[in-house]
Amino acid sequence: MIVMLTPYTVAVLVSSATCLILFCYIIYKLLKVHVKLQAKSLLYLSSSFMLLAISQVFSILSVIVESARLSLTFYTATSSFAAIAFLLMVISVIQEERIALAFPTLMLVPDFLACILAAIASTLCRSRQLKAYLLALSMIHLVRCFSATLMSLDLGALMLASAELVRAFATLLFAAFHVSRVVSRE
Amino acid sequence: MSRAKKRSRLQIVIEVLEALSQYDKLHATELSLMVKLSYDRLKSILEDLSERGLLILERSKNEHKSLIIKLTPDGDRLLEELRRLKKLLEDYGLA
Repeated sequence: MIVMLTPYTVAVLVSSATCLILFCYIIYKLLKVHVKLQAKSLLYLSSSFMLLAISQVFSILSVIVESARLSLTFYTATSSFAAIAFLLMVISVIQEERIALAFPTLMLVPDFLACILAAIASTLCRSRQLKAYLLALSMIHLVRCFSATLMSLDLGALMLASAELVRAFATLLFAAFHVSRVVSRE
Repeated sequence: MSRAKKRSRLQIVIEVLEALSQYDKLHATELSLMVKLSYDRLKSILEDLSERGLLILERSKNEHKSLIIKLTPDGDRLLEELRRLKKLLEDYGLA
């Protein structure tokens, strides 16, 4: 089912399609040289552009698909893939040897990253309550990250809704805990 | 005090191809000085590029048997591609 085209959607589609073609051209050029030289840095850079190209495909799909749920999924995937692409580029510039290690982690950005960071933070803090909240938040982000991959199914939406509810309560407790600490010191 | 940034393999390869494109042929020691790279590291890169058909490595007929390097038409074409990509690669610190 494809949505009815308006001047706005046509403009978005044209710009996304143009970006897709341009990214594909860059990928082709980079891979052509990579085949000759087998330089890893070129492969990583072309991977970044591939992710940007994929994000453009999702952008196009988010506009043309009629189903609101699918459209939202594609819309979310657009920014996620673009974010991963840019992170990959940044890391390739800083230290290209570490990309291979960072790539699987970045695939589930930002929720997976939030999950890891919250888990690390929980190990660093001293308070037991704080550790528990941060661990809970970490788990919630993990659930969110998996639910994002299952968004086209009912289970994904249910997981996301539940995770959001738990996250809202956990954050409320988290904030309340800090406020209580501040208040008790005064 | 500023430290010189370590060049990537790709950067070295581009410099080697650029240097070779300016001359018909070069001795390995000359090339080593031009691209500011140790002879051993340069030799391994040259052997790799030669296996890919981008360079021709020859031993000179004099008593020193020094290594002479020539760019192949394939190497020349690759350099052209790299020149086209240069701005992009420079932006990412790869060239």
